[in-house]
Amino acid sequence: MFTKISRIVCMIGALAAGASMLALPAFAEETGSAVTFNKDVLPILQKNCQSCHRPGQIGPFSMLSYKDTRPWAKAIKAAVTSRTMPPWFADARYGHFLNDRSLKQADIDKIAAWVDSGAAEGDAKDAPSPTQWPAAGWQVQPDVVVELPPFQVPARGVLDWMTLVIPAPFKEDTWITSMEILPSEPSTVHHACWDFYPHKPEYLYNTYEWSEIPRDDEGIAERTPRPAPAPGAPAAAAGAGEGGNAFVPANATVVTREVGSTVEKRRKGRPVNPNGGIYCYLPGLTLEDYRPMNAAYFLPAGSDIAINLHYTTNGLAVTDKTRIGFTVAKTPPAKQFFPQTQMPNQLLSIAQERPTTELAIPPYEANYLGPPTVSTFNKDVELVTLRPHAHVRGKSAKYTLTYPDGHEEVVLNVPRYDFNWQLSYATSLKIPKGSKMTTQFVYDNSPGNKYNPDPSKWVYQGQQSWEEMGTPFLGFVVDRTQ
Amino acid sequence: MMKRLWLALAIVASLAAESRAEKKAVSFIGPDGFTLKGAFYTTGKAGPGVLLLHQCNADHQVYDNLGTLLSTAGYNVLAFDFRGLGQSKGGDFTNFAAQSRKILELMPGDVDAALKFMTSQGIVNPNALGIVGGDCGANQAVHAAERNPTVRTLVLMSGGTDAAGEAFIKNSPKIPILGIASEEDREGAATVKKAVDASMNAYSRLEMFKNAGHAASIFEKEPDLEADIVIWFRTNLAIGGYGLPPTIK
Repeated sequence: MFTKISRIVCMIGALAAGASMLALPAFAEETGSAVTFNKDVLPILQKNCQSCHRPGQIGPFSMLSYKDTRPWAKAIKAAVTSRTMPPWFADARYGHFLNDRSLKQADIDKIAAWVDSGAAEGDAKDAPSPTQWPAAGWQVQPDVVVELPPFQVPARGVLDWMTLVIPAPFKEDTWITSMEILPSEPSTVHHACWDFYPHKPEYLYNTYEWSEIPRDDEGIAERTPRPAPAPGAPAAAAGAGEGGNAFVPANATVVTREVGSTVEKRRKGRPVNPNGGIYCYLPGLTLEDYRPMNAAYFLPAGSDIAINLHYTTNGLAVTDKTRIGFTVAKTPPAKQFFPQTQMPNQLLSIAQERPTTELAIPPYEANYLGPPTVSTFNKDVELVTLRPHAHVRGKSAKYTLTYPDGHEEVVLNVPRYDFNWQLSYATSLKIPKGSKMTTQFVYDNSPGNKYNPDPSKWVYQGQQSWEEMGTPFLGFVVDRTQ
Repeated sequence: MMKRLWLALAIVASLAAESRAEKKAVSFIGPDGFTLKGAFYTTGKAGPGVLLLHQCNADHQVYDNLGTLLSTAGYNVLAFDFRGLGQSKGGDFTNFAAQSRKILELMPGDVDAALKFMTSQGIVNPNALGIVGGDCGANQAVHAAERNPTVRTLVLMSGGTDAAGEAFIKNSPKIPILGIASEEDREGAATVKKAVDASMNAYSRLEMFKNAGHAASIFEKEPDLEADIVIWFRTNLAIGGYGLPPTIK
């Protein structure tokens, strides 16, 4: 007798096996030859899997060779037939995405047929030439690399967001076509996000700066006013009425520490350095690539990079060494990329019907609707990236565009949001002036959410993984001559 | 010709990378000063720890391939020999069969010593631990999880647990359990099924084979099982911690 779950798994497995059995003769009939690794499977792996499944990458094993891949054959079949891998979370019913990495059904059938027929290696002469992956762990070979100073992540404690300002490594105006960030200890990195700013003399180079957020014993940020939610009170009542910066209370202490030093200096006031926070390392996301859009980000000469670092302790002290790689255009591209926050004001305004500071997820609530974010477009624009961001209680995210004539279109639906795979969805969507984009996050604070650290707690907006966010992160391109 | 050369180079590069998964002989001291011996598998990177507890008619070598696969996948792994078996024969303990009662009494302390040794290696995240237990090692795994709250998941092969262990499993809905057995191994199959049935975790599941043998010997008949166990850990014992609230130990 199997458990209920086992029975369900077996039923799914049986269905998958049935589909595979159907697929095997169909595929064999189609090709007229045995399915082999070298001839049929390796080309699929090169195109879809090896970017992560090679030494030094996030994949748990390498798929560069038959020897590496064979022990995992059954697991690979299970992952692709269930569409767990490659990780891709966009609802196929909506939108069209340039970076859609979900496998074609024909490729899934090939892999299933290969496994079901004994996972043969085949003739080496059938193998495609090995993909030449960039060295040193990069997805894209960078033209310019910036190495951040080593950061000592302690074993315990709560680390607030820190910013570090360094000069950008470009002496002239530069068109950046891709940006990639590689922490050496990703298990401790919640995010590492940067942005570019015109240099100001007051910026503190090579100094970590952060606002010390008062927290209670449970790590919850103390923000005022935040009325204690009464049992059974409507969720929106809790946390209502907050003002000012969403994350940093007005009375926060600003702390600075020079790189390489352990001496911390404290003062009251506002941080000197800018916040950073647009281009990111996030779990599952390391690369911003504008090349498929024939676009680039324009960086004026003499700019600074402000990096916002959010390290999380996990019981083990480590030293992280993060690198950022850039590719640059030799000639200006046709289009210029703008992140949402840097769109010229005349093009885009963003307003929220309810502030996200109202976010207050009740204990054990499995379907909490977060405050929707509404972006209004004041001019025709081309939307090219959507990157939903929530933390471990994030359950789903939906982007709905309302056109000026009132009709609605879902442009991205992520029905199963996964903090560990925070993907950026690349598209090309012309949005007419007067349209509005509404982004709706749903949160799961129930025990059924396997990543939920404690379903008995109210959850509010905050910086830490156990607090929550709901950020749409949109990116746009405009013609360079515009 | 060129294609073959590239393929050869790729395989060499791959093997070089795989070789970073290091296996080293280790020894540590049990609570009474007895020396226990085994192997530590690591790629040298910080990550969760997995303890492998073998069946009582074998030694830690049965987990050699599993240890390598797990370490390649990002885990730091310790497999050691119980007293009177493998390299932990010596002194007062030279015959497990004859001394099993005494050795089983001492086993919980030895398992705790193994966990302590593993987490003292400097690269094992003490907040993210998992245990694989085969046969008699299964009951030890369950009770080790009871004593050590940072054990997040268990894999039980052809062995279950006693009433106290079942009660612990029932009261620990956060611990997903993978049960593995072969049908004709009636006792092993029944006990592991009972343990999995006791679990209230939605992700716990049973993998039941036919004519596959007992505990780690199933690996010979089911060559995909070791990879399945690694995938289980990747699904249930995240490599990345991404921070836990300070009150979650």
